[in-house]
Amino acid sequence: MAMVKGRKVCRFCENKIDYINYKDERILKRFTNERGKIIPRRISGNCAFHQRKLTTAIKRGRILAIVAFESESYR
Amino acid sequence: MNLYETTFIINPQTDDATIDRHVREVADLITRNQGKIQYEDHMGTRRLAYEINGLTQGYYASFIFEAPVSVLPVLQRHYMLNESYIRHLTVRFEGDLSQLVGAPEGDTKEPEKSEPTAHEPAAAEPEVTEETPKDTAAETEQAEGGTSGDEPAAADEPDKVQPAPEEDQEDEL
Repeated sequence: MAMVKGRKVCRFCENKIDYINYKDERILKRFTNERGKIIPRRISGNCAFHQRKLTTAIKRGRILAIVAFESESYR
Repeated sequence: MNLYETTFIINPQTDDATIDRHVREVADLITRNQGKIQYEDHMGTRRLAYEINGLTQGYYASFIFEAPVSVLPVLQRHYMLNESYIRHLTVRFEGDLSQLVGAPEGDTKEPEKSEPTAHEPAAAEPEVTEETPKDTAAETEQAEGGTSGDEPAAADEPDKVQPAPEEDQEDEL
């Protein structure tokens, strides 16, 4: 891991966002892959606090059909 | 008294008056049970991410309100009894209400934002092209199940994927 050059800073910390809105389709989609899966912290670089908030937001968004549970193209 | 946020989707295949009535019913229910509405957001008709009862669109509305816990079962019952509400969610509101109250002011700022968005297409396009290889990489990774292939993929991806979304987010904020 010492080889990793790219900086991994939590983007929510950087922008000082405390609350992740579950109705914000753009943010939720950014942290899910094409299949609709939540991108892990290891890849997105989020801190534990914000990853937890984000996961809750995505799951709420799924209930309200704002983001998909599963992408159509993979069905 | 707690702060709650309730969001619901109404079947859009009725006239506007009926939709409006359903939205007002929820608001009335909250106020009649000693609740106080702090913020309301009518997002309007949006595309659903997946089909619900054969519908592809839904009318979204949401209320942020201060109310005693006793309102919640009443609300829940109201949603369940009426088939026009195709989805509903009531959760504790954890955001900053003062930011939302100032939302009308935020609208005036939007014309200014249109300038940076002119640069956005250039930034957004590479994002899309970069995401696709990432996904295929992730899948081959899963398919192979090899631990050796795991680390380089994880290490390379953030470099490629991160810069583009970052610009997007700054515009938004």
